[in-house]
Amino acid sequence: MMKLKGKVVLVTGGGSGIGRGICHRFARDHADVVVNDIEKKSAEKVSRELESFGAKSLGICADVSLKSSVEKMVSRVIKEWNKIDILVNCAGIGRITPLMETTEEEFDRVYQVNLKGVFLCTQIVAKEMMKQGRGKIINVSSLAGRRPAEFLAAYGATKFGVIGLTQSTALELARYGITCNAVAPGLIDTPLSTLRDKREAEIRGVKKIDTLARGVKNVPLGRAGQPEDIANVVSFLASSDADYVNGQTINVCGGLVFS
Amino acid sequence: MDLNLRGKVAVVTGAGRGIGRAISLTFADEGALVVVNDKDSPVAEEVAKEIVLRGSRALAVRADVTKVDEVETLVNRTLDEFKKVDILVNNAGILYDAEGPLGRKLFQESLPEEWHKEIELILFGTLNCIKAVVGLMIKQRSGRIVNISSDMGRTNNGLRGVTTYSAGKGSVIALTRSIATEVAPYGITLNTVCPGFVRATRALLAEKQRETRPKEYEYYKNMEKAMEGTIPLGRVGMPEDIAKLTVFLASDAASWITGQTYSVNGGNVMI
Repeated sequence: MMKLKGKVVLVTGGGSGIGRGICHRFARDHADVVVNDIEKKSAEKVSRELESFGAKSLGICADVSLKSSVEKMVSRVIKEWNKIDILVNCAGIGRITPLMETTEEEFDRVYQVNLKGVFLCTQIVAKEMMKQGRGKIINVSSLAGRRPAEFLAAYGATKFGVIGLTQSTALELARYGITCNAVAPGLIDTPLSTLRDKREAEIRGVKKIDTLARGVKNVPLGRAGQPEDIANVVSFLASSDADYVNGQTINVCGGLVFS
Repeated sequence: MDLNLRGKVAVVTGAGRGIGRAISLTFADEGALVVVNDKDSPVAEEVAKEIVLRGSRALAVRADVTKVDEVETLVNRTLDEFKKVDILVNNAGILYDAEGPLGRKLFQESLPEEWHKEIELILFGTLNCIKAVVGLMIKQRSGRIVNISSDMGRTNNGLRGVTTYSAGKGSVIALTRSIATEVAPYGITLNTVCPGFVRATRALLAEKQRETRPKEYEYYKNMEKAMEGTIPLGRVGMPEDIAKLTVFLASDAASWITGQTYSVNGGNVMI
């Protein structure tokens, strides 16, 4: 797996879950990986994991919803490694709340991280990619960005938005040799899904909910996804094998949704 | 790509030229054993030879995928030679224009007897091949099927005279989803790849016949130029672009992907 050797990859939200899985995959692909997370400890922990595989890595704490924070992160990467070849916008937060109980503050926060964060990172990193005349941007959306999901109004709206932003980015930046695609993960076994279960049990007033176990019954391939399933596709999209794939949304969901 | 396809047996239909040829060569580069099927024997042999020259194994089998008995022969010869079928790529298909690219008829001018040709090859050819291998794949509890459709099966994009071709390609997307749902419990996946505008067989033929059929050559050249203007990446696709995603979907890296439709088109159509 040498096709990404020497490439500099920035993964936002790389400290846990799918983001961490993506970082691990890129390290195995021999890329140099910048692990960004809002939690300093997680960013540094994953970065050390990658170094233990023999990869070059940098853990950077930054809040993707703040322009100044993203600018600082990107200039640090450029200072250290001189370029960014691949950007994976994976940072995201999920709030499980019925539509009618969603507060303005909650909606704003989900929007700021999940959609504005993708916009800021794309704009600031693309400036560097335009100078290089090439680049790959991969945005992590969700099946909740393709069809509605209960108690995920704010989250779903931002994930639909990520697909729209992906298409606009693909359209406007193609002329600079930059492609942009999205992946839409289905039911994935991550910390976020455990969190979701706890919250949903509260809302429904029941003791325990196991979304993963319940949801898996509807997944034709009969299992929940692992971060690795998503990481495999992200790695493909980041490689030259996908040079002509642009503006697409790739569902990775075990056959749960066809769209 | 390093997809670990060593020892896997891949059957590719319509593999003698264009996209099917590129898919076959990419499989070979990934270490798979390739059955090169085509309706034309010489081109299939040619591709098989190319694969052997690259240091892999290949078997050329002539078969018309619209004929159930010929598809059976294709599968039997594969089993004789390689003992199993791990991967099937349904790529055989054509946009008929016997009288040249200018010969397409608008739907209201078309005759019912002209509708069958494309539907027969694209829809029934695909069904025949899947039917012939799916039982084996169920028994071995694994299998990968990738169907080559077209962006024309997802969106019309302002094209005229392509009704039955588009209908056939659209039906491939639908049958992929249905069969994917039925065979998922056996660890078999089916996905569809939709190429956009690709410089493949017909364009190369036009290039070759530049002297004898200048009108067609001009037509293709102008069409390509016009298309380039509508594709964000500013170039038409090459068969290799389609082959890479197809082979990825046939690998273990895509084991949690089924029933999906992915376009490879430089951003021309975004769905």
